Amino acid sequence: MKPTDALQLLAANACFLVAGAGILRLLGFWRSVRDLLFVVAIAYMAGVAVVGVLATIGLSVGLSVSGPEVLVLCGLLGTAGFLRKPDVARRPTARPGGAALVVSIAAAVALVGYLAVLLLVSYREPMGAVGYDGWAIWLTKAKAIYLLGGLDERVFAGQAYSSINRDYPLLVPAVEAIDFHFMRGMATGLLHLQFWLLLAGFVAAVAQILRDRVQPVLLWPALLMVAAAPAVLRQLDLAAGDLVLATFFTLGALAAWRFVDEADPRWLALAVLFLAAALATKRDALGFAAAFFLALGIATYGRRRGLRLVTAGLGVAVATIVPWYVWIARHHVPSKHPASAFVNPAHLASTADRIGPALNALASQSFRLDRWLLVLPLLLLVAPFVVVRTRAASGTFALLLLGLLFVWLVWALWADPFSIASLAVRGADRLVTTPLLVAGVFLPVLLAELTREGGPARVRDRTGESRGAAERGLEAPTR
Amino acid sequence: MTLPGAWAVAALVPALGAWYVTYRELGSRLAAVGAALAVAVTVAYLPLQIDHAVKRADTYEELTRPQAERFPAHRVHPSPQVFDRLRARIPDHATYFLYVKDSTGELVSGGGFRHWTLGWLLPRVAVATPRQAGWIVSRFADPRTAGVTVGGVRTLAPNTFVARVRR
Repeated sequence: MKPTDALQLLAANACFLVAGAGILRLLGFWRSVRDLLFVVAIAYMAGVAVVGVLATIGLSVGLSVSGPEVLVLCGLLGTAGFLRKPDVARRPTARPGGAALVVSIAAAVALVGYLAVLLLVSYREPMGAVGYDGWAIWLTKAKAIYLLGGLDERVFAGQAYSSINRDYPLLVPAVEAIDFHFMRGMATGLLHLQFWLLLAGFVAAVAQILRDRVQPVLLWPALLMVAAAPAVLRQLDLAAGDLVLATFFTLGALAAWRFVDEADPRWLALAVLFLAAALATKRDALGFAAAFFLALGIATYGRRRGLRLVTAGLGVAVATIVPWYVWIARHHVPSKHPASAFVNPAHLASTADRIGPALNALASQSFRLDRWLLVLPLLLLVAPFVVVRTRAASGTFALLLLGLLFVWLVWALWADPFSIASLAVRGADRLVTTPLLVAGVFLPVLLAELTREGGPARVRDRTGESRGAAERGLEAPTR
Repeated sequence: MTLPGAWAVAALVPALGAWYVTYRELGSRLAAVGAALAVAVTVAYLPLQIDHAVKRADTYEELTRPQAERFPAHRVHPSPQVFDRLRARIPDHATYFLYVKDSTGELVSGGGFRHWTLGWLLPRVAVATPRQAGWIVSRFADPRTAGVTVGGVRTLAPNTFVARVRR
């Protein structure tokens, strides 16, 4: 592997960061360079999201996502941020004292160390060392985009390529093709590095979204548990779309939670961006998006402006994926998972015997200690207390969303035309990635909600004084 | 992944520490229990995860870029160099038909062989029927039986052939 290839891949990702920084400044998340440091990981993930979504749209209308096109796009998005001077009010960050600081730092250092080990593996591991889909489906599409100059209908609508899931959206192949353009070649052995960057960016972005809302002594151990879950390493090895979908959707869910809790439309805009990226990653996201907006609609019900904003967000997110579905309809690309199967009562009635095995497959994967550690059991342990004791809308949103995600997955396995035995063995472990990541990042959020219930939550603010949680600024702003 | 019992017990020590510190800091028993359980299970599994990852990184340390790019080929064909020979034989942007049979002579999609060929031969493009193709790539099948006139049949590896379609 040439080190220059890795540097060129990093250059592509630096462009994503520039684009994301521009978007975040336009939304009012930062003004000075110092502010940017507090949202830099969110900016990176937002950059991949916006470039990936626009690349999918661009490919659908005949563009090629070549290096110059991407550079111009990222430059424009980066400078768009300077069209306005936003007012940025940063909330104080929780600063633990004494022993809590030691625990927080130890967990954060362990997390960074573990990600460094994964970086080493990602740099050395070739595509195809683990799994099949990464190279057989996603990489083939990326190569086709790169070598044939965009969406060549002989491949993307060609019957000979029916095995590569032609109806799946294009964010992952588009990002890989952009990497190839920057590397001026297909150093496929380096693509795990791209997936590692997304994983590390996700972990850091979660930390930055929650830094002023969750105490470090809760945040870092929970984040470490999520990142160190064996299933996450397995998904990283596979280099397929499931982990990417899960990271974008989870960031969208966290941003939506902040919108529910703070009624700040900037967070809704960010949530919509991440959701659009999830929709541009895999078809599974359509059901997740329905669950997302249903949960968001219920959580903001009664707030007139909130519901209007959520409806507008839904419209924007759906609009971004329309060009791709128009392209596949225009080229008569059939789906392996036809939408009609999901709503046909006769089909659903005739396959009702799949519900039990579907529930069993999802539950057995979600509760596997050697895959997801204690992510879901811990969330289920905490959730009833949060709902009963705090009655916080944000807690309700998190639990409602998680419940709806699982309902969607059961529905998907129930209605799918493929053998349930095969789906249970080969598909369920990947399907649960999104709800389990959502559960993992909401665990510290719910734990923090418990400390807001009026107990003697002693934490220190930036001045080092010990105060109650309400005084210190961890409470949601009053609306 | 098997968790050694002694290590699982050892993980209880930092977990108890996390419980004590979190409870003192935040005053919530449940939050403290949550943090402690998260620490316990992570401390128990993290060394296994790191060991697993480092061993894998060592396995692939010596791979060159060409070897890394061809890695899946070893999983789909006993003679992985056959794919480079196909690339050398079929010109860029030509079309080809993948003609694969199983051991009983039935036409099949080709599984891993098909997937790797589709990606590796780009920008050569696969087509759905032999009539649309400029070339026939076959495995466990004689290209002369594909239903079109072919010439210059080459054996690239045992049971793997390439032939040009004659118009």
